[in-house]
Amino acid sequence: MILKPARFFVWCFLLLPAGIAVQDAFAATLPKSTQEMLKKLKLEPAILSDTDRELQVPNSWIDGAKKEGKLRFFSTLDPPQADVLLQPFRERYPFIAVEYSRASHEDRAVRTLVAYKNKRIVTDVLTGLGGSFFMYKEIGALEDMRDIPNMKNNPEGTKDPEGLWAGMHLRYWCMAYNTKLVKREDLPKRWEEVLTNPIWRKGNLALGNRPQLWALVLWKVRGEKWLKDFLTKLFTEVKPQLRREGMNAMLELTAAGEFHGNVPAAEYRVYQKTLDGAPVSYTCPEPVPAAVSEMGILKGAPNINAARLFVNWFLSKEGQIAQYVSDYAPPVHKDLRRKEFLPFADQILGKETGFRDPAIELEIQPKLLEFWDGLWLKSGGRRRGR
Amino acid sequence: MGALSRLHLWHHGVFLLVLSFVLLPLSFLILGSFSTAHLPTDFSLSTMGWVNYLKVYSDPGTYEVFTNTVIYVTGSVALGITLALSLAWLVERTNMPGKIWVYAGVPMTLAVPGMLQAMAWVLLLSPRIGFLNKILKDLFGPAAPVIDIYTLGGMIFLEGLRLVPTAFLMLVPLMRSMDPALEEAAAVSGARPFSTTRKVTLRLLAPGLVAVMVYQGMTALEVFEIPGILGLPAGIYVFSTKIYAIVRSATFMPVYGQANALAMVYLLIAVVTTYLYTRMISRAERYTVITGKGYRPRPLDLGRWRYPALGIVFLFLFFSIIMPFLVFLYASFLPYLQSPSVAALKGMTLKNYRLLAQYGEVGTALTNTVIMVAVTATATTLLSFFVSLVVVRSKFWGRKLLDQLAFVPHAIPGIVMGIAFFWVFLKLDFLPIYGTIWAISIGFTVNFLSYGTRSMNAAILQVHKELEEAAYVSGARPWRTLWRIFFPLMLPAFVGVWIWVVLHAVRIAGMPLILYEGPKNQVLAILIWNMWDEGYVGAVAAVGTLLMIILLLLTVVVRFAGFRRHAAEGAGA
Repeated sequence: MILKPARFFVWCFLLLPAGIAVQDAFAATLPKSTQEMLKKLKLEPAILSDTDRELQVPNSWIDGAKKEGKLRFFSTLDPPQADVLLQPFRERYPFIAVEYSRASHEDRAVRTLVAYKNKRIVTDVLTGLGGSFFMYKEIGALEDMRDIPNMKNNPEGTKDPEGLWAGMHLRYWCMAYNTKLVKREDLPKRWEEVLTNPIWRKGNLALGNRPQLWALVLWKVRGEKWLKDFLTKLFTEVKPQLRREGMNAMLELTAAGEFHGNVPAAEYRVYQKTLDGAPVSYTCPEPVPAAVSEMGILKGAPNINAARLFVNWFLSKEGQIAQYVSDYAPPVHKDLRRKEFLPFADQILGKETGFRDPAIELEIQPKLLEFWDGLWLKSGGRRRGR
Repeated sequence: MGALSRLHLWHHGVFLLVLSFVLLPLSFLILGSFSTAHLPTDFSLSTMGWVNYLKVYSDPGTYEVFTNTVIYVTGSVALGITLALSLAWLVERTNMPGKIWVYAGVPMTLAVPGMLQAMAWVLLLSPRIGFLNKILKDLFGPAAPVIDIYTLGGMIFLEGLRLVPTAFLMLVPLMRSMDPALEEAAAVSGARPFSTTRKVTLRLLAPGLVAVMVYQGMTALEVFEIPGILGLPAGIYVFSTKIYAIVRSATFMPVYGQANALAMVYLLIAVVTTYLYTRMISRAERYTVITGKGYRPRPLDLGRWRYPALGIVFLFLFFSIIMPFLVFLYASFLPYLQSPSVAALKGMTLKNYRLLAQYGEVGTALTNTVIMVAVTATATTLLSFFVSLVVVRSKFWGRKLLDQLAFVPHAIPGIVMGIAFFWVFLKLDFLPIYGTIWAISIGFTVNFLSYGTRSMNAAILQVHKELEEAAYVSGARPWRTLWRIFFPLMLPAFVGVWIWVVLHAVRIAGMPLILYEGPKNQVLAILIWNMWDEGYVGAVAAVGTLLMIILLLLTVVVRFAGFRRHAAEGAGA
């Protein structure tokens, strides 16, 4: 049947209120905190229309989680951010008391493993294993998560084929700069320009001791020779300040003017700093080093069912939107790779991008670290502590 | 022989306890230095070898670390002792006005943790963003000289300041109890006042001074926080930070055996210094300067230098307490780090304090700290008392060894002791201690035992044996004698040791950094260290401000109580 234009508009006029009513009714089924998040982001509730399906899990997981009643979770979020993230989860699963702990990379990656080897499981879910995954894999410390339904939402390359980790959000590890000290025209469009522009010399550039976050991807995209040449010139000609602080501390120092810019810096952290009014911004030379932050469940975790429910929820659209609202980290969910979920999108989208994956982590990382350490120590930097 | 000394069983018990607390971790430290396994849990005889020694001692960097450490310790002690000696001399031997401020103010500097002091000075003298350096640049242009705190000189300056209060407290009694007859004789013979000070006073003080220097040298050698905050960012290592750098890894499983191999240097130093210190103390009577005569030293008239001298004292107090506090107070209200300006003042916020209130970890760290500190202080006080009772009062065969065992941990840095206990707790995993605050508490108790026993030895010596014997003759049981005689008489010593331990346990980060497992057993010092490391400068400033206020109040209460006690004793006399 073909509708005439007049009839079509009449039908639309009649169905619109019904559609709105259905949408409102659906929105009302969402947790209140989720509704507020959608309002904040000016998103239609329809974006979460398949949430019920996404959150369907075996009943035994729910029953098990009810018995456990608890979930321990280590991550990098500030506690107020974690509160924002966890609010919808708490509303959906009120029988699970979430014990969140902010933990530095060393606490998460190394100390948790030391405790694990000492037969102590200090957390159920842990995140951001970046660079330390191989140690966990080696001793079989991670649970296989392939039975978690929402693992399928993660595109290939953002989850472990063996199910030992799942990407929780994206990170673009580029460069932060002080807007009072650096003009836009001085920003490097390609990494090579960092070597040639004199503005980055005389200690104006700070380098963090985490090459696996960015240089590893450049090795993958441009090759070994290119990267080694680039790094050699960077250390010997540009002579950046070699800093021992964490990436967030370096950003704080860039904002304060200790240096003009720092490498690496993640887009979401810089964005948070701009919201405080700090004179910092973010730029991404090509190729853009991208990575996913990993999330895993410790094998033998006492709250395994609660952990499964949590990871499944986190990888759902609702969880992914909640984590974006909490700290502006771009979602990894295949349906949420959109401009409005990406701070400094103009610096990232449309550029040549390389992704870090565990394969290069296992193969290239040891070679990279060996080469990097040589340059770092020769230039007066502090040993990473191998 | 007193009643207490008849209980040989508990003598052996105390001896065995201290022996195991000190020697067990040190044995593991030595054993671990030969282990090529990454973790103590993987240790086995088949993983033993010399690899760690070869790796560590064939590294030219190790010798640079050695040189840095020697310069750092020597410089800090020289500066600290010079300042402390000057202050003690000014208050005890001159007519400088306002002495009460020095007596009250200098010990109060103990309340400012070295870690916070170093952080405050970073905010002041970081080469590019330090508030003072920025002011210098504003005044004299971009070519103005920059004062860089991230240097060996900066570390020496700050550690020197930090050593002053303890050295001052040790030197004041020396100055006070010295018979002025020789000085007066020099004056009568026509010597000028400063010449008398140099040629007579200082020489009379020399033996005591050397003992104080050795003690302070060991303290500087042990300190981790100041070289950690100022040296690590600039790649300047001393032994304690080098060991920390080896075990601190964000990517790889650390090779603990290498840290152990490097720590052997400390063990050697500990053995040598303990031997020297014990020898020095045992020969102290040769240099007796207190006589039975009643005397009152004649204060040196400073003339027109009276007020400038007071000014210098205030400058020290300003640098040590007021300035760090003001810097932290200011930074705690900033949304992000920026130099003082009208815009910065306008943008001030309570965000950092709110963040602390929302940080669940702050609450956990606070609770852990209170429990850990209270348990450590109580355990140290009690154990020190019983050790000293054996050492001073008994004829127990091993009492001298016991005294030396109790002293050894002072010469071993907390971070090394931490690694030693790390091996013990992980290897003896049937003890459910690793990863709890009890691990930190045990480590600290052993570390503070040397101070506790020095204080208790002196205090027990002041209680005459007659009292104990009278109680015994009257039929009192040993424990009743302890409770009714020793406890009331030694209460000031108990309180003194307890509070000293509280003030130190709350501020030291080195050992807890090794023994903590994660957010659940972290204490305030670790929280501050980690927050600083991760760039939460505002939050560190907020927690630092609050901590300084609490510790300053605690110190004021102690000083007030002390003054009241002295006043009451004075009135009684």
